[in-house]
Amino acid sequence: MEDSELVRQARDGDAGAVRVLYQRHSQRVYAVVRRMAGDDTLAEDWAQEAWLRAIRALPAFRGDSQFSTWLHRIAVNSALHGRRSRERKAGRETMMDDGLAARPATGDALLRLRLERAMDRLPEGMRRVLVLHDVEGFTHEEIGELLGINPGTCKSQLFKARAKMRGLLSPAVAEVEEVRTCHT
Amino acid sequence: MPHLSLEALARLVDEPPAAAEADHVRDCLVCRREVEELRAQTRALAALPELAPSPAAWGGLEAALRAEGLIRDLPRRAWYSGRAAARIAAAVAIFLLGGAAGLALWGGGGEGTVAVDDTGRGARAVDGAAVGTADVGPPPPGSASAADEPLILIEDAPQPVSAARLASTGSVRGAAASPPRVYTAAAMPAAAATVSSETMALDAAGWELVQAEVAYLAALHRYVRAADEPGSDPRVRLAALDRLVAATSAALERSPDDAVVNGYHLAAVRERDGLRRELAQAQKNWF
Repeated sequence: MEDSELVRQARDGDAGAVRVLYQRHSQRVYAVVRRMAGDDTLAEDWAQEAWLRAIRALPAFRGDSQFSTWLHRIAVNSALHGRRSRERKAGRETMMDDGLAARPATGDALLRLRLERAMDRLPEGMRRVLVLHDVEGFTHEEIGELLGINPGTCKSQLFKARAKMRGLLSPAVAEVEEVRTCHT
Repeated sequence: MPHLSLEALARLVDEPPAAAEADHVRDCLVCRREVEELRAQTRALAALPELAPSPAAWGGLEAALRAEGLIRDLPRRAWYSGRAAARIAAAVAIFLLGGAAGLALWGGGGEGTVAVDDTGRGARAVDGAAVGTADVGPPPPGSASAADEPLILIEDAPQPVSAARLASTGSVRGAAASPPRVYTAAAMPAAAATVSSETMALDAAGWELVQAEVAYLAALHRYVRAADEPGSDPRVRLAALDRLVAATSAALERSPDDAVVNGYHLAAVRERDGLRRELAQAQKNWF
């Protein structure tokens, strides 16, 4: 069933339709809020908030854009407007390190995990710009509008973020190369 | 010239360098490699996969949505829309065609009942989404006329006893739990409206689909068995199977991706082709 039909049913309060929409789009929503949050627990709160906002706003959704695009923008806004909890983050970093250590990883998977971890370590402003531009593909103008900054500031933040990521990843890249060498 | 700063190099990932920067990067292996590494990093970020939320996340969201009154359980409607409805219609229609062909084959001896339209010429889908018709000709000698022959049996309640809702084999009909209402040719439009009504419950519809498939395949098996009966004419059976294949082809045109309709079609084609081979072999060995 098309999203448009599910949206129509969800607008009427059909729990089944909402569930199907959730199953289809929850990973994309979670990915963007998780990367912007830098924290799993916070991300789950933000993702839930994004979905609540979306379902509340369904009557206003006119279908001018794809539902997925509309929802993604809501997710980004939820992440941007979410309030950060430092206590949660401190607890989460420990959990995430444990989780990463427990997973077997090939070279590529290891690189992805390193990227995610490095993003988590960026200062919040840099992380948001990096996620929105390099991961999500927003333009500097769009990001400027979302964050309330001018595009020049956005670019400056992005270049700093890339440079910092490079510094954070350098040892990891070497390690990944070593893993690849061992596998080949 | 000293190396470019990492921030400057990060800018060169997707922005053109100034003249001096271009000259430097062209001559400096270290900076050139650093730009390549930064580009690889950016590509890797763009290629990051989506992330799955915790499996428990839906439960929390659902509870919150219900608490706000934003969602509630509604009767599932998917069965009545689009492809699913077409599939049910196709199942019913194809089965009825099977019944029609069976009637032609066995001379309407009372084992099968069949829906015939008001012209008395063919069976057709009962909900207006007909997928094909089959000319079955007038009732065979000795059978009841179209006007008083029971045509289709429909339960009053939407319970999952589709065997009683469809023209069916005797064994399936015997499974009906309660005496069904009997509709005649004159009553067919009303009966059709009943069958196609949105008032059918989901479970009944799903059960009906399964039962229709079972009944259809059973009809095909009856053709196979008939081939072994003394005095049966395989050419009559072939004609009936040809009609079934035509009907399933028509259904496929409407629902080309539907696995169930494809299954019907393949089953009918398989039976028909098998019979054709038998007939061809028999002609070769006529002596």
